[in-house]
Amino acid sequence: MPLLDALSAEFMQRALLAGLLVSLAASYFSPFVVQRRMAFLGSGLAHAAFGGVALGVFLGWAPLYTALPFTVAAALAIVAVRHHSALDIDTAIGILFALAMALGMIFLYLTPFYTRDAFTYLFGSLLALGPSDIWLAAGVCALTAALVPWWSAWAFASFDRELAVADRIPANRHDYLLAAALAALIVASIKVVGIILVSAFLVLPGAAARPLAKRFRTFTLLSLAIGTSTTIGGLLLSAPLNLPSGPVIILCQCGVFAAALLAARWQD
Amino acid sequence: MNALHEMLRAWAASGADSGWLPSTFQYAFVVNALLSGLVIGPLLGAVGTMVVAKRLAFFSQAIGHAALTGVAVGILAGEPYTQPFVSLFAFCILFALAMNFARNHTRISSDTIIGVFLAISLAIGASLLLFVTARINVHVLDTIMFGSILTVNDTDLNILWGMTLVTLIVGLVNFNRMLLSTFNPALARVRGIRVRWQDYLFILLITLLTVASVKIVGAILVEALLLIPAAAARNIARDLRSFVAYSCIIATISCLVGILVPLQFNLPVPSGGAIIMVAAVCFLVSLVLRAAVPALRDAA
Repeated sequence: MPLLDALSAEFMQRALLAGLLVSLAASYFSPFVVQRRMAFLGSGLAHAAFGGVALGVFLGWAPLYTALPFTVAAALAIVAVRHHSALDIDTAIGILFALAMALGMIFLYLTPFYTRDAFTYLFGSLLALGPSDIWLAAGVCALTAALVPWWSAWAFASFDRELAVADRIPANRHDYLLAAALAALIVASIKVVGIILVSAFLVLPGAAARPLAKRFRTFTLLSLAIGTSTTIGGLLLSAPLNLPSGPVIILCQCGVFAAALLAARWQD
Repeated sequence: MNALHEMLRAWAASGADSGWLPSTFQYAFVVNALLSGLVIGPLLGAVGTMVVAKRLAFFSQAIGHAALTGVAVGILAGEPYTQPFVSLFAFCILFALAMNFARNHTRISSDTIIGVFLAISLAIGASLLLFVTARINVHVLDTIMFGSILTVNDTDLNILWGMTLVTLIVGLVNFNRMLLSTFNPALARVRGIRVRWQDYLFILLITLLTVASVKIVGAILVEALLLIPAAAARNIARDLRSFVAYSCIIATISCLVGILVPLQFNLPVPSGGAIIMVAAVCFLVSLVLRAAVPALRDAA
């Protein structure tokens, strides 16, 4: 499909809008994920979302609306385990999310008219994007915007948690807020990038921005620029190449990450 | 080895005929699946203790997911899609070694590096898989991701035996050095052990085992079988020896029960999911035991 035809198609406009909204929110959170070493949490939450989606398919409800409470609950549970239990956090994430994934696959196989729908969620599908997905993406974007006032407190706690706590920043409570926001974001991005790749959305923009940035402000701004431009670029590339959108976006981000590493080394 | 498998299958079939084994044992694929469960259970259980101690959960998840890409590469390279072993092993080993190299040689934090590698391999794998499954059967995807015992055959079993041999040799020759590098790297360095080299060796071992178990447990869940039995064992073990022993036992029970229960009750559930659910139940029991038995709570 030539590029202009692609742009005039309604599904493509919808995809671009959803992609832009979701990537804005994801690349805003990405520096926190990278700086606080939460990459495994992101990946785990994506797997939990699969359990939520499958529960929805099993019950015959709209999957995104079971996935949202399911994933947010999993995120809050993980933060609670980290704060209150001696269990190693890495192991705890691995166990909880393997369980969610196993449950999800059992739900799917027990569904009488199990269709290939699940793969829409695993790999993302632009064609399947509906108005409700746009609203969900817009909602998550609005939520992110509402959380911007906490930016400096979160940035502070990301670098020196003890000092932040001494400065009366309630870092523990903020952990719950951040994890719940990440969960909502992951659920909203499922249709655009797919469960398998959504955690990359949270890691790559930040990872690419970090070697180039000296302050957290530029870190965040660069991450936003990289995240949104690669998403739009990836979506536009995927239509004429006839490739799934998620992987193309991620590969664009990987390219920028590699370029950023080289640029940082060259600067030294 | 094929003769041994043949013998065991004949023995199980006669057992099913005379009624002292469940009737499902007359099928060759059931015996094959149980045999492979018996092999991978203790192996993954034992190695899992070190995965938990080294906090390599995310690392091993990445290797499991890399198997998706390995399979896609294999199908593209023209290998049979049920057994693309050359590409599978080659890709996963390269992936794991490259990831560990990057971990050691950049200033970026380890989990970000793993996240980036995971993203690259999955993005390539997803594109390739969607491309190749358009030509082959879409259900290949199910099999790879969630495991399928129906396709286990003599070749798979032979590969598992091979991996067992490699693990045993590496483990027996290197056991003390590996253990010391895992639980006390500083002391290991003082004793003159090359910890970094041990690290590579261990990662190679996880990769081989992970890839060999993908058929049974599935690429998405194989990491859980390294993790959950070991975590459960840690809750109830009083010393290192019982930690490893319990972990092996729990992993083996999970495999066997997870394979047999869906067959016996005719549930349309993939083996990987069932195996992980059994392991999760064991983990819950271990949590309850730890809370109930005071002697366990004081142990490490």
